[in-house]
Amino acid sequence: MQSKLMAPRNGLLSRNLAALDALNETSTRLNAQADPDVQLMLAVQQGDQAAYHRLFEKHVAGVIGFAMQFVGNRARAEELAQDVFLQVYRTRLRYTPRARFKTWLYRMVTNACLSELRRPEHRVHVQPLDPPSREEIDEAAASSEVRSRSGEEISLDREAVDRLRAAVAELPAQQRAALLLARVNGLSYDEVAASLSCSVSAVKSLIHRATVTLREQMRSDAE
Amino acid sequence: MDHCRAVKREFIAWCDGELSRREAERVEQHLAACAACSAEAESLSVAIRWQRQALRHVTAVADHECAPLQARLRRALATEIETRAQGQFWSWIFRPVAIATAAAMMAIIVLFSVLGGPNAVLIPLGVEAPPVAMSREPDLFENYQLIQRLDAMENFDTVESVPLDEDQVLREG
Repeated sequence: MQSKLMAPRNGLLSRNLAALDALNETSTRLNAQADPDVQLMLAVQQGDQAAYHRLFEKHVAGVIGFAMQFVGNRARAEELAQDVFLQVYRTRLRYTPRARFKTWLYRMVTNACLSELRRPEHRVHVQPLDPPSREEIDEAAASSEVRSRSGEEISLDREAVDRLRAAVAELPAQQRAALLLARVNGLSYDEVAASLSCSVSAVKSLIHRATVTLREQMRSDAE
Repeated sequence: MDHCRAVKREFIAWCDGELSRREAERVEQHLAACAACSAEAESLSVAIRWQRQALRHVTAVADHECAPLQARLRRALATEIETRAQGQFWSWIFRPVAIATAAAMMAIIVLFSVLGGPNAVLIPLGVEAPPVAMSREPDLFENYQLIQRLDAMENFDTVESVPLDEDQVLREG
């Protein structure tokens, strides 16, 4: 009797869930359509090479900066960025705007970086070789000084940035990727999950551990 | 204490604005009531803001530094487009040849199957030599194909052998 009563309710529930999924899908597609980069990518799909070069100019620095944290040197990071952008061009006809362009792009970049790390020659300590210039750091230090309500203050000087760079290089690759995607590239946890092909709760955990590790590392270095 | 531990796991997602409204309210209610967690949340919030700024400098690449890469990419892309166009050209060139070859093969197979084997085609064309018996008595085998089709000759192999002359026939009765 109970099962007879439950059956229609379960049917209704599954229909509601399916409707909710469809609504989410539609909403995601609408959000994606609003992304100017998606419009550029759709233009690339139609054969507009100028749109492709605009996408490249807009994202290449971010992609190189991200890749450098995995491959450890500028030249290899550039090669990797070139491969990724060629892949963007090659797969343009199969592209469907299901999410922001950045999510799609960084999924490719992250896969390329993590594959690169699996190669035997990269199973060594990664140390970025090309840090930003002195001027860039000084400029940053002048403009950014974070102060909390309790008066805790951390300045952004060259040494601190170098220590942070070293600490980031020590993070496990998945934590590093999740942290950089969220904090530097501005992806939401949902988008990071899509880029890393994992669940949102896994992303939450990865970012939590990475943030706490970096904070402890910076504190211990400062002491 | 367990509640503190559970809420602490949500602090960073809360600072990043990644919690649902209900989850965020739960965290905020706890922070309002727990001084230790409030201090921890404040410390993490500072760390996150600092990391966000500092990480941008860690990964900073100036736009002008990307110009050589853009030039390389343009070249690579041009090569790719050219290679693809050449591939399409050759596939277009070879497509009629492939279609003609396939059609000829199909025609040969159909011809052989309709006429009763390769010899039915190859012997008239002079490519294959006819059986000795046929060459000796061409009149007898004028309608050979018809006979073969009607399956009148059960022992086809005897056609291949040399026929007996008249003396042998008389001797053997």
